[in-house]
Amino acid sequence: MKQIKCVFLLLLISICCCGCTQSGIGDKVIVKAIFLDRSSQYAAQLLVLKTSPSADAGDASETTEFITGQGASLYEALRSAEESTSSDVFYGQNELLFIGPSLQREGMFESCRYLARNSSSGRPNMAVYGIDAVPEHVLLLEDSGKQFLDHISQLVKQGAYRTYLYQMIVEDETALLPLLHCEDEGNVQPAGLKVYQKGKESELWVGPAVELAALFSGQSGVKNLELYIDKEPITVTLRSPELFYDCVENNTNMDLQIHLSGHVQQVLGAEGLYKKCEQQKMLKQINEQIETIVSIMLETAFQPFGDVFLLENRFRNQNDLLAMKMKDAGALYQLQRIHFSSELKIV
Amino acid sequence: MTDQLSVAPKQLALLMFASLLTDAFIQPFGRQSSVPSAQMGILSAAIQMVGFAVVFWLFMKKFNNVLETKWGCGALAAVLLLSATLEIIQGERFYSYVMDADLPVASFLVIMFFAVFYGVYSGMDALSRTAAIILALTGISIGFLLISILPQLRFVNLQPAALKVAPLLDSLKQQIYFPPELLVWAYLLKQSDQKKKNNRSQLVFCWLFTASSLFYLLGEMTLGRAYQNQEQPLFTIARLGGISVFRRLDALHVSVWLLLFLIKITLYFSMIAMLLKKIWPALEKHVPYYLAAAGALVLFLLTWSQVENTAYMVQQGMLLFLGIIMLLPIHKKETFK
Repeated sequence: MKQIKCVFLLLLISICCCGCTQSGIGDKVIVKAIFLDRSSQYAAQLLVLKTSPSADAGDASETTEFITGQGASLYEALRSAEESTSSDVFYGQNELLFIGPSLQREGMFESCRYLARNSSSGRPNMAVYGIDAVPEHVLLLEDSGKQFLDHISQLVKQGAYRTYLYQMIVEDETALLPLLHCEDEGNVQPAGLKVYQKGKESELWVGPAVELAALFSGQSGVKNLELYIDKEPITVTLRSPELFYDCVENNTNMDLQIHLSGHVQQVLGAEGLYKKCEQQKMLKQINEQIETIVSIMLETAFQPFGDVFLLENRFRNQNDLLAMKMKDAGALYQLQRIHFSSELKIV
Repeated sequence: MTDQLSVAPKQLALLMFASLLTDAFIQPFGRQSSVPSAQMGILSAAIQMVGFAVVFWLFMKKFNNVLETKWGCGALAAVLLLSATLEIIQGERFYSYVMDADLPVASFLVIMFFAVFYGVYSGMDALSRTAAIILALTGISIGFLLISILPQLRFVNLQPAALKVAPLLDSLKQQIYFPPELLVWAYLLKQSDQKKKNNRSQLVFCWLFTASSLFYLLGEMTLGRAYQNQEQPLFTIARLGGISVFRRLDALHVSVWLLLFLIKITLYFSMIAMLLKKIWPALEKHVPYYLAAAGALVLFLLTWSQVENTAYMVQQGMLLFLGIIMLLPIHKKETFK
């Protein structure tokens, strides 16, 4: 009996400490996305879900709204946004971070580091996107907040490139930022992938380069490549595309061979789907085009000041001493060290 | 508090494993400048476990009866009190770090001391059986952690480096420590007169090494270059993972890890209460615990955010000194027995 009483008391204490004593669910606003930008000051806009619970489930409702704040630092901007509402701001379910155009140019990595350190407002698994909307335009999304969030989750389901907050806090400030173009009524479209090296924007990849970058970053799934065959645009759908790495060592240096394998599931042209025999004819051109695109990408991505796809590690995993020797001699970061081949087949 | 003699060596090994494993989940804040790479971490863990095994073997072989004297008991109680205080500081900081809702330090301490009180007076046997259950929960937690971060594991994230002595020594310097559990374990085995039986220490050290290595690998394979900037790398990867629609598994993981922390603290306080009772047998039933809690509270207020690193150095120095004294060929005549 004494033990039962003790257990009961412990449970009672646990209930008192579970975080719902100070405010009920109706007094909380649930952050679903954070928008950050910086002009003369930092601007923080939190897209929040406001719930109105009711005993009658039919009367319960959810609405989205923006709470905004500005400040000389990101901390002040977020705090100002939190203080602009009388409700408790709950960040626990937020997995989206949008970086505005000005912050993309300067201060993005510092902001990400701040959020990664701050365990209350930031989560390492927040997906980070660059968005082309300035704070005034972001506010226009208030009425279509739910559609906006739905479009984002659709993009994720479709396998759009993903960068997480923890990938943006690396010391060398080398990262890939997926961009989104914000349209009316909450519609969003992918707008490419911005390459950052040493904290600076170095290139913008669009179209098939984004899909191939996802493969190099280990993000598998169905890939749709928009290519050109005889100047005609086609969309090639790849099934189970996969990259295989093979580091070949000789006495004085190493070469990294990368093979793209997988199957072409379908090829869509202006006049519809191509037949298998037609696909077979264009396969060589598809493979060649992919090889060309990858070689152009690697010109940017494989640099000593910003190794976007961590290819140096592939060399070091094979033979660390030799890789470091090559690096010191300036022989590692050379495009001729990497041999990429696309070996796609028709299903 | 029941007699510690009732604890079988196997149960004691489980209790010590649970207590030592806590350090793998809750990394000390501010004590290390950065997390070592997985390669260095695993190598350091291997060397550390060999060190633990050697020290424990020496304790088993050469343990003298100094701890049977009032002086010895007092010294062990003092070092355990300091160790418990340092653990409470780390535990409180970890709790504040992982929880969104603020909990005042005073509330944390009250709840913790209440739970520890219950644990201490349930006896070492009950504590070791609870440790076995919590270890099983920890196994499940690690299993879920693995499944949830599986899509984000990448071999290319591993940061290999040719083996050099200087970085290894740096890593060792940051990681190696003398856990009070080694002394406590040897002492309890000697007390229970079961030291000749298989104490399963080697198995415990092997499992500790396996767990540490797994955590290093998971951390680096998931976080890549960002791994070494993390204060609590395991918690960071716990926050990353999700299974299907369950996105906040970190809350479940953390609750299990905090239970491990409670086991560790309860073990320390059980030992302190037991030693105080030995020194002053006239103390009333619960008084040793009240004294220990009051002592820990005073030390907490003295060291918290002020002289933590110094306190840590003092604790390690005291443990080392006590460990050496235990191994000297001294045989005290005036003991409790």
